[in-house]
Amino acid sequence: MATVATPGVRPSVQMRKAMSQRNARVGFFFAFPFLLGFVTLQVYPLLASFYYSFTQFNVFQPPIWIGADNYVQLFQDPLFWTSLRNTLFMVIVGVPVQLVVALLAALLLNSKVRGIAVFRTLVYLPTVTPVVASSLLWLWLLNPVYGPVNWVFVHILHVSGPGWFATAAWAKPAMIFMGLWGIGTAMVVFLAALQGVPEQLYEAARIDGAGAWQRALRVTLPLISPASFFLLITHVIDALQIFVTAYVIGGGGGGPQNALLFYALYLYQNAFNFLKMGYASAMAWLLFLVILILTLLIFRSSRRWVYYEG
Amino acid sequence: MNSLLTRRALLRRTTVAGIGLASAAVFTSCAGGVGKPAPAVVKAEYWHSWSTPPVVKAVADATAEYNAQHPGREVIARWGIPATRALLAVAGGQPPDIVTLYPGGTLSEWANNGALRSLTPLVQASRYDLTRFVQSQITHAIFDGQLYALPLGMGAYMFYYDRKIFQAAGISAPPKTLQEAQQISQKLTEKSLGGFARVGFLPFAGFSGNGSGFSLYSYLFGGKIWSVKEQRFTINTPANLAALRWLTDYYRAYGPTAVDKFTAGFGNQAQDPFFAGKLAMEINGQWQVFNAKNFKPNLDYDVAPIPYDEQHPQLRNSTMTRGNSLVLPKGSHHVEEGWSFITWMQTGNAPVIMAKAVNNMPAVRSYLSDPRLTSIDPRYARFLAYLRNGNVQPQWPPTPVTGILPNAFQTDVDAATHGAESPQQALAHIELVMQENLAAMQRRGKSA
Repeated sequence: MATVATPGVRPSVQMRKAMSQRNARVGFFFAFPFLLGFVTLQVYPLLASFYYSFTQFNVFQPPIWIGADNYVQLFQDPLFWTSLRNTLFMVIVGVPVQLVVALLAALLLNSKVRGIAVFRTLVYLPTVTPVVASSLLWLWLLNPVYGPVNWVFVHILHVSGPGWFATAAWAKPAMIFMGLWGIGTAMVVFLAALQGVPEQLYEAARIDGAGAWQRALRVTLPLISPASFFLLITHVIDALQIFVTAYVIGGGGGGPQNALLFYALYLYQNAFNFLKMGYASAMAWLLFLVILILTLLIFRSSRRWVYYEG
Repeated sequence: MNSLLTRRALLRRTTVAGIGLASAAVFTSCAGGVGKPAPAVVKAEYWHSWSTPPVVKAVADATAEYNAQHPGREVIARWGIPATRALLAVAGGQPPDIVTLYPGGTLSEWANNGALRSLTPLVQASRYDLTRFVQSQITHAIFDGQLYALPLGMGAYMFYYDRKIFQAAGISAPPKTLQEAQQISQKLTEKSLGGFARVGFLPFAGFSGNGSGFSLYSYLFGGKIWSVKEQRFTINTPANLAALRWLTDYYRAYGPTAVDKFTAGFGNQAQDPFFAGKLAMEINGQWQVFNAKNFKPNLDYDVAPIPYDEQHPQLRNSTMTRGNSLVLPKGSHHVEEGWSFITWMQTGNAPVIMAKAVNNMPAVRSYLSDPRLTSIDPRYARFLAYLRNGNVQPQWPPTPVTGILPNAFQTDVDAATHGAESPQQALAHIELVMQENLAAMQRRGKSA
């Protein structure tokens, strides 16, 4: 510090002011590349897409202002509702299934058996696989004709297996089934939370005569609720934005009878296949609203079920 | 000099060196200019998106031949440029002079977006004869009464059947009508646990989607998707309804979900369902002849005219075509050179070179009997003959919203064949969707 180098001389107020101004300038200078990128690549497109959502815009010609027409049209578009229903199915059915399985896996992997590190690695490993690769892999595993899963159905159980991704009824269940392969991240978060539960609470509960079920319900679940809360929010948002897996499995289309036409996929089709940028922008802003509302609702509800120690 | 090189000094020196080099370059180029004046070569850029080596080479060979025959002109072919990038270049005011567009609605949409130069004045000025082409490839390039493209090769569909499977079942000839195909299909279908081991014929199997397949069945039942005169979609009509009813009944007989499971097992190349014996018959394009050569050389098959609906015998020998085209973007600088090149590509060796490389067929009628092509394969020769004499329609009509058509059909045709909608509801809905999109496009046309 300057004060140390020249003992006895204290910088005047003016000097300090000048220095802080200089610091601000230097700081701004170094932050400038980021700010430039942030404003031009994030803020501007964000605001522009809001404007475009009120226009008819095909990228090649200047946008034409059409007021709220895109939003009105959206509500009359059956495919919009199909895509919304498909997506909400994944949120309402898929997310709970995924979290429960991840929690069960975490409970198993929290036990003290030999080679537990190997098991933990094995469960986490699929998360490392690129999504496109794992989607293609599952497309093959669940192929109704030559896939190994249906081979088991036909040759060992002697029944015809489900049609999985090829049929409208089984396509979304197949997506959820496939999603279980990627529970690694949620499992790790749950595992960390489980290991943070103090042993003495279980001891006390045991002394009070609580059984295994009661200990799980009254001790474990409340103490890992912050982790559950975090995972719930991130998984809901992820489910609302499902795209890559659906795009790969449906080959860019909506799958059998549009059973895999998820919201983000339909948005993409409108933007890049049909060049309806205005319409797609309107869809993006509606999705933003849906995510915002759901997240707020979950936050609201958290007061009643999320428990923070201390 | 032994002094330390400071940054400033380094900068100064490199600048001096740079200026020196640059001036030297200017001097030498001037010197060259004095010695031998370069002829003024007009350079035209030709963009296409092909990237497979044989096709890139074919285009390069053709342009080289053009350049050799046209001193003072040079067409520079640039390959692997996606159509969207070319369109952005047009929108940005820096267009190439010639572009190749591919099937799938881009042509009429580019025209609708004002990205293309009308060729009609050029055709009229040079009295260029358009009857030399297979007419479906001209029909699909006319938009609002103006011609926007000349063809560059085309593909078409015919009926394929596996002769070995036919012989084993004691069937001597391919079906003449769709109803005959339906009966033969039942005979040739074999079940297995978990579904089918083989299905005789599936109406949509050879197409990229049910949507693109439907346009053919519409023609076969005497239907039309678009009325050029009224400039509106004519989807919900008795003829199209008859087509969709026939298709729906067809899939019902096999169980649409069972068919979905079966078709999910279809692969590509050697695993193609027709090559693997999973389908005994299919409607597919001429590219399948070349695929068979590569992946299943000993397959005993033949091609035949597409079966017609028994109510419409006059529509026998029908097919639909899709093709690549040559266009001149709006704002291009070398219109005359561009026109010279795209008309030259319809002459001499070019149509043969291109058809051989792309595995498609020339759109110029006189080349359909060219021995260099008919000798390639007897089944390919049948395709060429079919185009000479057949009832040929473009796959999709040129409309401002053609790009959306396949998808609009896909959704509702699927719903109908799966019993989620009645055929009537399906067609009414497709027409509604398409008319709405058309109206939105026309509204933009007025306000622009």
